Amino acid sequence: MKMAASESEATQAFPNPPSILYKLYTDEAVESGSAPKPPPPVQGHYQMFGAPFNTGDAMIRSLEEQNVQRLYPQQYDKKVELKKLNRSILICFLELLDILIDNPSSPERNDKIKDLSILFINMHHLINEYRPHQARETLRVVLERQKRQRDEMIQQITRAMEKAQTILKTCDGSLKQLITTLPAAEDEQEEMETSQANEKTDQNPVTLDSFVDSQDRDLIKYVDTFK
Amino acid sequence: MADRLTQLQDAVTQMSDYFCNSIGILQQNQTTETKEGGGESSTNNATLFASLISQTATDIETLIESLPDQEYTPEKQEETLKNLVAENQVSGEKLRQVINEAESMLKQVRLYHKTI
Repeated sequence: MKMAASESEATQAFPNPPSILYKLYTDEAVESGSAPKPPPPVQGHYQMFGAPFNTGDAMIRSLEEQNVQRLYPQQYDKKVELKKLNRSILICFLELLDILIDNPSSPERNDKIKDLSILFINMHHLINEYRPHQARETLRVVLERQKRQRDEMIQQITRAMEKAQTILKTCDGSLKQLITTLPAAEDEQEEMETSQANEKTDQNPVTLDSFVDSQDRDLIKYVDTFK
Repeated sequence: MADRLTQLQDAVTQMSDYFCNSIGILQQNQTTETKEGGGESSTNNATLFASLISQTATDIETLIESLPDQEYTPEKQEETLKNLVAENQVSGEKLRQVINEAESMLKQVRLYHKTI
């Protein structure tokens, strides 16, 4: 039985985390601090899918580091350079076609193909240089949304509280009247409204009559605290 | 829909695919055409790839155009993020206060409801 469960888990595209780990993080364990701490961030060298990485490496390695010819100047406008590359790629392809038509076996052909691949690498590199900027901008948008949600929530709760207070205040007035004038049956109805809760009061009008005085004074006192 | 950068990267990759495939098809047809003296299908293929490649080039151009003009420096972005985190914390604190207030109010109302 246990074997079958683990087998079906092993074939899942997204298997659950190992249960021996996540079961340690119960509410009590987290509260008392006995749950294991997250592993510290890796410093220095590590491997991911067999490829070596270094945490000190630049986010995007420069073209020179990757032994690729750089086709744009040191100071550049990314958009302008990207457009230039886009056109250069097309021209290079047309030239390659010309070579193929006129003289397919010439060594120029291989040079052209090499040029084309350098152009493509340069273009991808420029696009990738946008990535860190994009990551920070995404984070900014997420934070802004989070803040807006919180502010909206505050407004909603405040509004609900104000509404509840006005209801309680009107109840205060009508309850004062009730003590002196109204019969018990209506009294019950009023109090149900006051309570604001969904539970239904199960008192009956006959007994209510007997303690309406002392209890309602409590209610009025309580409602007064909200003013 | 992926983000613009990924779209742009995909378009560039697609461009290289088209280059590769178009030449591949030229080569494939080359032997048969010399025998049969050219065919309608190769003209069709040429038109097809020409339009695909020019379309992709236009797409790439449009996507590049949509990228932000002036990039903020990482320092400036970091500053904005720090401010946002601080503002977020203030909002969070305020939210916690409001919730506590609302909870205590609800508790009082419930308490009274019980005593009736």
